Amino acid sequence: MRPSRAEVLQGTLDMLVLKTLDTMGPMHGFGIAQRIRQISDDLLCLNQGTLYPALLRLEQYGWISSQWGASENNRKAKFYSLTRAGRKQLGREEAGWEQISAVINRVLKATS
Amino acid sequence: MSHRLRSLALRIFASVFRHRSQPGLDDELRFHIDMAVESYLRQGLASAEAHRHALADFGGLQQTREHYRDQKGLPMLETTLQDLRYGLRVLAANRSFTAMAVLSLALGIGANTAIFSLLYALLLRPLPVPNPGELVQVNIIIAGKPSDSFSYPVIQALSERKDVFAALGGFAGNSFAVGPPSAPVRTPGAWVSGGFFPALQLTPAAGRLLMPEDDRPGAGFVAVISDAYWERRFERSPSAVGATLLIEGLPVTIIGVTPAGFTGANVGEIADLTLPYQFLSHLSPDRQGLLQAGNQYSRILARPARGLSIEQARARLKVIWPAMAQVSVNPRTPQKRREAMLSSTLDLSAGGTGWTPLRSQYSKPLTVLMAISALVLLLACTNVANLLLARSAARRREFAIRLAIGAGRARVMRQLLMESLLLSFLGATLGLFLAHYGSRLLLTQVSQTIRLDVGLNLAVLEFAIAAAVLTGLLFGAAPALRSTSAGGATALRTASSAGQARGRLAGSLVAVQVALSFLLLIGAGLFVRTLHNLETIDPGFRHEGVLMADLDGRRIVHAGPAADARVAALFRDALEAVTAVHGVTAAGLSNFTPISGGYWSQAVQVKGQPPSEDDIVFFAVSPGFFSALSMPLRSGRDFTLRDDATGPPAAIVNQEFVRRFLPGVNPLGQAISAADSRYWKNMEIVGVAGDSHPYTLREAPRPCVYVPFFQQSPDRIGFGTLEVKAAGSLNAVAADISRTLSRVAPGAELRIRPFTAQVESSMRRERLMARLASFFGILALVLAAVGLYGLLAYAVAQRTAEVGIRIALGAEPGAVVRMMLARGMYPVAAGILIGLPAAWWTTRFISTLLYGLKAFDPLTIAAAIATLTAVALAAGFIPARRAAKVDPMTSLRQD
Repeated sequence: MRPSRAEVLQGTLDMLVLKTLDTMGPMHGFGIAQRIRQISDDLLCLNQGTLYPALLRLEQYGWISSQWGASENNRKAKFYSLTRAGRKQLGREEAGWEQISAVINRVLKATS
Repeated sequence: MSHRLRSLALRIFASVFRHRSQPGLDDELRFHIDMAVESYLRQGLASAEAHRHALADFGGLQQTREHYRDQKGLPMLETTLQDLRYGLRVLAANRSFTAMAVLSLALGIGANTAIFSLLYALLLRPLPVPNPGELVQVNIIIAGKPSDSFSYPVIQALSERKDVFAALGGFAGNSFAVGPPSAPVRTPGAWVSGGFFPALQLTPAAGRLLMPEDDRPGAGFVAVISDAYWERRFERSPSAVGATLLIEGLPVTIIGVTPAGFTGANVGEIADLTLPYQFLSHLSPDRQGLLQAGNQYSRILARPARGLSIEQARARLKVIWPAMAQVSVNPRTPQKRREAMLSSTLDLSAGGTGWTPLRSQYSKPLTVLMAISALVLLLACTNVANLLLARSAARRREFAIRLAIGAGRARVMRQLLMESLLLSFLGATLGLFLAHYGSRLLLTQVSQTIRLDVGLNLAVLEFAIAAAVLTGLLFGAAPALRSTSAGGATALRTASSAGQARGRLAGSLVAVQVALSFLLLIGAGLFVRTLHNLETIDPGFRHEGVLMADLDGRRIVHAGPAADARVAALFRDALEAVTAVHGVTAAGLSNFTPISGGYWSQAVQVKGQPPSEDDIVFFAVSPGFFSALSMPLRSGRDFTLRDDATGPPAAIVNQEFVRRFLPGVNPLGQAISAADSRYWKNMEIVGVAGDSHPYTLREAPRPCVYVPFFQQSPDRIGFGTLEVKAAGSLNAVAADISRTLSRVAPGAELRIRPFTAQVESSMRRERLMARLASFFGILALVLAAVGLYGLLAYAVAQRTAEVGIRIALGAEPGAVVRMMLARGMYPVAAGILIGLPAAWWTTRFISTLLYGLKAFDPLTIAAAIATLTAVALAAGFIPARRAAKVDPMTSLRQD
């Protein structure tokens, strides 16, 4: 239904979210968005709105879980945390990503 | 993949239970925006600017909500569920439409399912054995005629051929007398050869099943019982295995129980007791004969040897059979028969569905009925399509609005098809319910004694679902296409005047309906006339007011000294006693009764002539037989009690016999002999009887020879049927006869029944076809009439203004009625024109089921056309009259 470009982005986004939760611990949606933005030095500029359906999908997969809590300024916020299945998935995705980027790098260097 | 399954389950759950809205999401999003605004404010932006940036970063709140919602559930599933709910609402809102549509579909699908259940149970259901697809049935082709019946020696010889068959067994239905000879209980069962159970590869529920060793001469008396019999008689006690039953007066040990669900290889018969053929060798001499060549009453099932395909097995059989064929004849087999048997060939056919004589009799009628009911279903479909069309004209504005505000055509069509599918599934559900009763009713029409499970099963259910989906698409497609064909705006503009095209489509649908019902009416006419022709045949005897009672002398008289004489005396006493019963006007005794399906036949030689080429029918009859059946004696005399073993051999022949063998000669005093028999030598013809149909009503009268019952040796005739003609109440006389016989023949199993029932049951198939074809014909007529009425009613409503003008200009009401009726006759004429060649083509397939008329029968066709026209005129008259009563002023003001 959605254009295939979004699909590619989705997978990457999934990995970023999982990685963020892995390093930072439980976070709310806004925090995850900020973190991804900071880490990527504002280069990865995603529509923050797309984060929420992605969070839902990851939750449906059982890779993250969520619960309501109080934010740093004491407001009600939904916190997401990595599940054990999510941690495994992250490991798989990181390995896959490294492999692919290594291959692509090799190809790019070889042809230039 | 587990995470995907988990996700799918969650999404389906959310869709079905409509947990789509997510109140938490809005809180979450608000929190996100607030945090973003705060962070921009901290960076020193003005409040409005901070808000703008925050929202821009987010990129569309509403879009996020929608994507979130889609992710939450399954959008496809949800729109489908939405269509379903909407469809149900629409159907509930139009109750009369829904009821009409569902009812016609239920009748169509119900009829199809009922007939399919029977067809499945009789022809298609596999035996409950492992790998039924491997089983083959052995057939024999004798002088070009295929047969599936074999004698015991052939079964044994074939089962030795391990190079062709892994295991091979013969079987034949039988009923056994269980218990003491004074009060035996008839128990249905079967004879099987030693290879039968090994071929079926059944696992016993208890004990063991019969093995080849149990079917050798000198083996002990053993039997296998069915699971149901184990339950009924032994309450599933393990001690049943090893118990002894008195069967045919002999002690038989039960060695095992067949698994539940298995009732024997004869479809429709329950074998509670299964005994090896060799048990026959311990019974009376006439039953010992059943083990000899020439007595072909068993069927064969086998599994080809491991690794052998059916083709390979067939090829090997062709090679080995000529050298084996000798086992199928005995020294007394007539020469012609012997030659035919020795040059016979064997063939294999699929055997996984077991065997039933009903199959050869009913596979064609059931297939024809299946086709007829499919036509009815098609008719029901066109009817519903017409109804949908009428309704879609009314709903045109609704569709136009939906299309105009942006619903895709596909979406609206999907909605319409969903409604059609809903209708057909409702129809199928009701249809299954109807079929549940219908198939049982059908079964009793096919046979009173058959024991067949025609209940719901997976195959029937699949059939009904397939029928529902197919019909739903069939009748839903055209109206759905039509309703959505015009674009939104155009449709809105022309919504009120879009009747023309609809009229054409509806008109052709009605023409199709007329053609279909025309076909079905012709079919009904042909089958009704066939039954009528059979019923009005003069069979050469009268069955009305005649009772029949079987007497099995062999079972009543115990073996011992002078048993034969005692059997003869028993028959004599019984005949005398019955003749004396009050109300009895005549009584006779014979070994076979006409139209029972059984008779003796032998080649006959008239003295001084060569033997007859074909077999002639023989009946052994007592004095009184001819008068009990009101068969006229054309010349000579009836048998008397003096025509017995001590008297000179006598015979009575029928007129057909005289025509064939003694034309222009006085038959009385001529001598005839059976060509290949030790019996019936030099019999003097003492009388000539009228012709009769000996075997079936369909067959023309054949030459018959009647021989004196009491002249036959009782070791050949141990069984007789009394024919009793009575005046007054048959029931009262039957009760008297029953009392009399139980005095003369104590312990006899009496089954006194009217002869008429036997004659009628020989027309069971024709009656079934006539009844069902008429039922479907009338149904078709009603459906077509409804369709035509709808078409004309619509046309009248459409042309109210035109009719008003015509009346205002002075048209007579009669002329208006004629005009409207003529309009309705177009599709009728078109339908008949389509139907005629279709009838010519299709009726050829049923010609073998007909009697006394050609398949393309002008009288039947004329009657069908007349009926259709009359019904069409009647259906059209009501709307046509309404047109004639139009008040010009109101009609003109309407638009």
